[in-house]
Amino acid sequence: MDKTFEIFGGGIPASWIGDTWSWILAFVVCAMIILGIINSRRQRLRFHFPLRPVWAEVFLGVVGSAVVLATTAVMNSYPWPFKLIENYAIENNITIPAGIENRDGDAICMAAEKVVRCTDGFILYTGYTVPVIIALAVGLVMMFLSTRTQFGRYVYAIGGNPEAAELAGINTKWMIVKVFALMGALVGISAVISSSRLNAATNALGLSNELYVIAATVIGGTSLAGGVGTIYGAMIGALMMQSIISGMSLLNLAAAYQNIVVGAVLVTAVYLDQLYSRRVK
Amino acid sequence: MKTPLIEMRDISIAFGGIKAVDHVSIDLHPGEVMGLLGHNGAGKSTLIKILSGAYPRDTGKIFMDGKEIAIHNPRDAKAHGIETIYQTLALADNVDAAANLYLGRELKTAFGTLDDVAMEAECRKVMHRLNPNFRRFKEPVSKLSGGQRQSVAIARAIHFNARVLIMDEPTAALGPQETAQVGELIKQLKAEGIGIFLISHDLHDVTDLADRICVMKNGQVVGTAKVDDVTHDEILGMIIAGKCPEGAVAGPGAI
Repeated sequence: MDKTFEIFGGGIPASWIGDTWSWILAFVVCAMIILGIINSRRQRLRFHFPLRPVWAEVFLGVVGSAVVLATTAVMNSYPWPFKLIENYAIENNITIPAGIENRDGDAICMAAEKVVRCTDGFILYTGYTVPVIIALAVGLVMMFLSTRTQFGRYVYAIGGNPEAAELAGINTKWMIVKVFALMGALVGISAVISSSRLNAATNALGLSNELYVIAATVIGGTSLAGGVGTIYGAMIGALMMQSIISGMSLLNLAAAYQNIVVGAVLVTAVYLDQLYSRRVK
Repeated sequence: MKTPLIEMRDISIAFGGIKAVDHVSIDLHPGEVMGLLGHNGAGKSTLIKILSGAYPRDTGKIFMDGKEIAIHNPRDAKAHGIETIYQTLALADNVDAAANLYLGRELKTAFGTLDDVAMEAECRKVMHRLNPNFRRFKEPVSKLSGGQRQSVAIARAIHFNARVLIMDEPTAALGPQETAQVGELIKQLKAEGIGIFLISHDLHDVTDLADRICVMKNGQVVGTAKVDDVTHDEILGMIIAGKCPEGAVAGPGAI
């Protein structure tokens, strides 16, 4: 596949933004969090609404920024694989110690009485990768869309009571078309990432992913009955679902058993959702 | 004679083989309360749902100030200042009171995003007038009591300078005190020159508040009368038997 297209997949050095840019991004996000808190406080002040105490606002800002910075620190502690560093050094005329060849033909060096890789003096960190940034950006845009725009308000209203939404003067049919179009666009983005990650694509790419997606959204607090749910909930749900799947792969569980577990999680999540919505009524 | 604010002429709608509304004509003047009476299934709710744009009519015309207006959906009706409080309230249960109040005509900031704070501020003002004890602005309306939900629905109908207000069983979910409050509100709106269609099962409610009544039976108008010209018994006779008394103008449904 095209090298430029592969940047979307996050598998090649060109799609790693590195530690410096990761920190810059993190600080920009922290600034956005703090500005958001200040702005909402100013808005509420303008209309004389009850305010949160100042320490609570500060606490929220600190926790939000700490989460962002901690995540960035984790991302920035992954070094490039040493072969790629060697290639990078050769391409950019950076000299690294020649070392001595071991039995496998890899160059090794000695440092403080220990055998180390010769590239250890020269480290590059991956930082955030392009697909991760795309996912976060999509999450942010969708959060904005669902909570701050008329479109999002209508989506929730239609989910809660389609008849009432129509009577309130919302063009529900047109709204549903727009929702499906949005879903198509999001699937398109995920297909780009998926195919460039695999560096290959078939017409059955993403088959049965819908099960994971449904499980992730329901785990994230979205009601299947409609009208209830959040974007960040769905993203946390997706993270959890993917953790389960990755964990099972690491445990070397057979694919068939993995599917059983995913199915069981889905059924449990839907059961809990039903139980919850019945209790609310 | 003055031109009526709203005139529905020869309206019909059929669901399958059943004629829910059968060649009904009805009019409403500014500052007038028109009580719509009839059995369950007489076609009252269907008739007003045609006016509010919820149902497309099969035949008939609607005039406002003597000019014909086109109502194909609820948006058209609202554009002409026809607001409705439905029997089912038609609230979006999962969003809060302010969102319901402005559903379909949200306030926006300069950036085109929702101005939630302004909407909430406005909502607090309106709700304070209707229901001073209302405090639960942040909760979805599904968590509110029947009376509170009703006041949200009423607030939504009167907040946007309605010219015609349709109230379908506005007091069904309310206690005696709130019912009296709604009665006061109707008188106040009437004084402002708003025309009101009032649908109720409670004959006393209607005779107390309405200026004229229109009785329907089996989708047809039995008769229209000034409230003072007919007695309670005569109205009951119209509703149950379809018998039109002398004080009323007989419609096609009278025997």
